[in-house]
Amino acid sequence: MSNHMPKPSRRQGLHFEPLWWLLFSAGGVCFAVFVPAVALIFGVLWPLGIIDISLAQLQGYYSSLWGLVFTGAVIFLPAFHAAHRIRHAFHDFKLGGGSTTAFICCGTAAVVSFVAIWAWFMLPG
Amino acid sequence: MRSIQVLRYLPEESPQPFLQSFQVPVTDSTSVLDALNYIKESLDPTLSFRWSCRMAICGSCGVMVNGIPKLGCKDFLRNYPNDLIIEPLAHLPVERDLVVNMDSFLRHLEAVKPYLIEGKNAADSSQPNRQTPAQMARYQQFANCINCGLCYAACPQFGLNPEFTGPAAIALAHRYNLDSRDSGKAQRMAPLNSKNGVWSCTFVGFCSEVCPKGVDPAAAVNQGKVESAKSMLIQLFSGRAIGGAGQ
Repeated sequence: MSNHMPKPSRRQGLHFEPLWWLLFSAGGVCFAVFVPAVALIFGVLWPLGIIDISLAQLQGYYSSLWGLVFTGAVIFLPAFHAAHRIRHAFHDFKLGGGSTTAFICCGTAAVVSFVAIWAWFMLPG
Repeated sequence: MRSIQVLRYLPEESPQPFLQSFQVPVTDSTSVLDALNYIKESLDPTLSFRWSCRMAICGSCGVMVNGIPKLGCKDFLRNYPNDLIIEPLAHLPVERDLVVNMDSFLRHLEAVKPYLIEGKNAADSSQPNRQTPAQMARYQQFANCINCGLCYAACPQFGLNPEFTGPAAIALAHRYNLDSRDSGKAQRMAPLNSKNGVWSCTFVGFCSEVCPKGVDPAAAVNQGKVESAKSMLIQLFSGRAIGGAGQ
């Protein structure tokens, strides 16, 4: 005896929240681990002259594949982390938080990430 | 003797709730529930509240004590040297005085099927279901829930959106999903995968702080997010989810 059910669509019931949450989680790790180190090195130690970084050497590193990894860990993922958090803060304050807020927050993160990755591709070398 | 205030709601007398002060005798061992019982027996028999076991097992006597969800039997007047205000549990409709309507909580609980579902993981029905201590340890802490509803009164997301499945129901869904004897995960993932399932939680974590039985619903919800993300990815690529989302 067989009972044929219409095959449900593989997209049935799916929504984007898990995607935003996965980016938020990964971005949270980057925010906790990499962003403080970057802020310490480029925001404190270098300006104070405690460490010395050669710009030419830095550009060399950044134009390698490590520069793309840096962009991902310090700009792309933290931007989506912040977008998700700001969107949910809007929801908590009853100031939206629906699809318009999601579009603005995640859109901003996407634009920031796109500019950063585009800048990496534009680097010489 | 000391003074405590109770939020009264008597719809046939006044459309608005109002605070009423009572003088109650106190010792070091007077619980909030003892004080309410003293009021009902000696001062005002019209006061309505739920209670049963007096020992944090039944989960009936949940109230807000100075704005924090507590079990009346497990919270003592000695913890409040100054003002003490007892109100009905937040985020649930009040029927009378401290009695709230738990229907929405029970509806969410029912939706996640919090019981063992037979299938490929169950033993032959003539045999007992065996389980090792390690298999039991995976879910045991989530099994301590007594359905008191304090976590729903603590959850700001449930306050904003009563359609949110909520902490206790998700913790119990997780408890059965982790049970080696259960085969019902596919049925439970559909409500958990929806926007009103695990995804309405923003990890405030107050549910786990107020739980009188030491359950950690916030952990269950966030482990549930990982499960839900996996379930939806598998559905997207294979067409067959762990959970068959959104039926």
